[in-house]
Amino acid sequence: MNWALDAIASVVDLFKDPCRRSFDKIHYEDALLFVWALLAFVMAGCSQEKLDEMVSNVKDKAQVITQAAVVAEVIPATGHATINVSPPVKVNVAYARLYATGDGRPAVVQFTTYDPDKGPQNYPALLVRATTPATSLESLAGQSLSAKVFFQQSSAHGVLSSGDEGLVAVEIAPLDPNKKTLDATIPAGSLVDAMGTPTTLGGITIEGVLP
Amino acid sequence: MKPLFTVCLLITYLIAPTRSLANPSTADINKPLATHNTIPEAAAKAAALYAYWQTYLTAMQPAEKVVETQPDKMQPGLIAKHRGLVGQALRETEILRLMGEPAATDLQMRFVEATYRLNHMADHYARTPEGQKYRAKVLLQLRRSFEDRAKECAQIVATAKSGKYEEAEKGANKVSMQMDEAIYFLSLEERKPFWSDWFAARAAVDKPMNKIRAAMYREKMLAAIQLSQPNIAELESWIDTVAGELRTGGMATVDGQSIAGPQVLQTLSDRQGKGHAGLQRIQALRWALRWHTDNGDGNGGNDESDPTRQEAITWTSAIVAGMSKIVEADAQSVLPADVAARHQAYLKVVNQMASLASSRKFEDQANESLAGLIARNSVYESSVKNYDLATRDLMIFQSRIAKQLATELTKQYPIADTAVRESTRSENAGPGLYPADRNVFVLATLSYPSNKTMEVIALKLVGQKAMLNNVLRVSPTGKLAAGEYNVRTYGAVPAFAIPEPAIEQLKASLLVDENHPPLTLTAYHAIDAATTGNYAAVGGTVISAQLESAITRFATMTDSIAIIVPRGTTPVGTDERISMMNQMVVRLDVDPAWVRHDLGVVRIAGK
Repeated sequence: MNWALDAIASVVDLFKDPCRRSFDKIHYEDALLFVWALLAFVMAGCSQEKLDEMVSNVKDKAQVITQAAVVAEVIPATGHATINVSPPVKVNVAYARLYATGDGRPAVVQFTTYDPDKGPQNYPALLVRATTPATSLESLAGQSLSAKVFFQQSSAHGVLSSGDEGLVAVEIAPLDPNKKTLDATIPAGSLVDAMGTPTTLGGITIEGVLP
Repeated sequence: MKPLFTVCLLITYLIAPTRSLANPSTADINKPLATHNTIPEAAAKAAALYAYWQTYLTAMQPAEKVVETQPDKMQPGLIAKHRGLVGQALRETEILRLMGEPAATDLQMRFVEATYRLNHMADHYARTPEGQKYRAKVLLQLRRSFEDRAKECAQIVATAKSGKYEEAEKGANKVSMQMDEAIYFLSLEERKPFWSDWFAARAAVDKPMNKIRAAMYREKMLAAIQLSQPNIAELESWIDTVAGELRTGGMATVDGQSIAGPQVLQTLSDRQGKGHAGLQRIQALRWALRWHTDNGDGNGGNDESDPTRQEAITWTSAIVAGMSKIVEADAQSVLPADVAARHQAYLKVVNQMASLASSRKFEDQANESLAGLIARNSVYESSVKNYDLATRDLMIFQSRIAKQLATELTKQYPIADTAVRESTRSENAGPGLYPADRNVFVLATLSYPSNKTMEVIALKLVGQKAMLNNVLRVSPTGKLAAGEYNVRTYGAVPAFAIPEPAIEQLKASLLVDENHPPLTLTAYHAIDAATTGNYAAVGGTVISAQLESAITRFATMTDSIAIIVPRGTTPVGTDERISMMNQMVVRLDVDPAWVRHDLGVVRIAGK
């Protein structure tokens, strides 16, 4: 349920940042996420027995079935990422996306631990970003890329990154036909904070859900 | 009026500029405070008064050296002459005040001090053996001329009563100069018999003349306000016309020329800038008028609210609505094949407008309007969407890092106004802009003459570390960038772009090269700002400072300098019960050590 707690925290955080020239936007969808997160949180706090009782007591069964289905289906398919800072941070949600403008620019491949449509508003927020001539995520399988890495554990934490000019190697695993993820590994190295102070990184593993 | 003063005044009228733009600075603390010259004689009057002040200082320098030690060495005739002239200068200063010129506050402090010095000299001289003789002579003359003067004063009162105030004032000034030249050599008791006729003459003249002048100057200031007032109805009608033309034919006629939508938007932005500068001038003139009522007694004004602020909001709303109308109308007639180029052309103007805006709402509104244009070409629309997704998160993280780094740097480089406030607190009630007591809430206030204030604060300001926010290049080719006006401080830095490798890196990360422009406003802004030299913040060391009066700063606002105040806002004054005439603004010139652009902080080599 960590992701639910984090979602709540991050939505609350959103309203604390009144910076004028902020790139961060508050999306309407965040409010929905907030509701879902609250719901998941409440349900997790109940025992199965209690949940069953609740279900049988609720008159509008159709609605409950929908909600239960979301909880049952979404969680296993959200991907996974482990960021080996000290202590290691595990995130039960990760995505892989490829964006091509189609006008002759390189495409961009991004692994994120937040919903890529909404941007880094949920924490822990990891972005692994590389430009590539590839035209599909599948074609990246088994390849090695040079990427920029950004990692922010919570809105109260600063951003760790691979630095102004720093690129890290990303190894993309061959596709596993049984999984709907693109898996990537970043070897041990270091990340720097805003002031340029390095932090040891014991590597990053990502299983990013494909679109 | 004495010939010397008249000659002085005449010469200065001839050589005086139409508007004096000098101000005391660390380079020259003795420069006079500038005038806004809304009343056309003001600049010349102020220049004449400052010039006389210098004459007075030079003339009385020998007396100042001996007044305490050898008072008998002073020349009584010189003391008398300047006491008369200083009295007249104070009356002229009052006229300058009625003209809404804050330099009057500075001059009044100087001349009041001069009266103290001259009275002190007269008193000390009168106590010497030579002085006793002089005093007896003065007293005898005053007694002998008593009856004549009584008649003269009665005539002045009668002239005033008949409505010939100006003629009466001339007479009263003549009597005042004669009296000022004489009576300060006498004891208080000796002076008393000479007061009543003189004071009666002044009373008959001063109040009505103040009232006449106040009404006359008020009318001129109100006319100046009217002249600067943005015309919203005219703007809205113009917008409807050009939007209509764009919708039907894709072009609009502006100033006799047929131009496309982005140029129309540029015209709108220019009009916005003019209106914005006008509103700042209006705000300052309203400050000047605040204490300045029709009866000229200086007791309270009629400016209870802040109407300028509301006008700025209304003006900006009309502009933003106009921007949407123009873009949306143009989108109706644009050919799908032209969408990409049109979007780029709009981004250029919208980016400029967004940089000058006070609120992020403008950017959101612009993006919404541009979305309609982009949607006219689905392939391009898809490119823009993917470009946004491919660049947005990177920019968010880099922006967060830049802000965090800037927060760290702010610990060493306080916001400019804070730096000014802390380094210009008065010590032992001496010159300064802020009181020593931090609990007293006042803003930068002139409480000593500007030269004396600068003498103390200039040393403290230079070498301070300070940070300016929202630093914008004054013109694309100009050498200066201006830092946003905040509380009572604004700043200037030399305009420069961040080093080329950093720009190249920025472009590469945003997928931009000469054939591939940025496709979102945020990316466009990031690259344009870094290459133009528009920065979110600049930190550095104060190399010089300039003291300006708040009224004059904003009353003389030009379109290009008006960027120091974000569009849609107006400078904030004091509580309306407090006069703005002695309220000051400090301009800091900063040697940059680092700059923060949208996506990073760049340290200047060697700093």
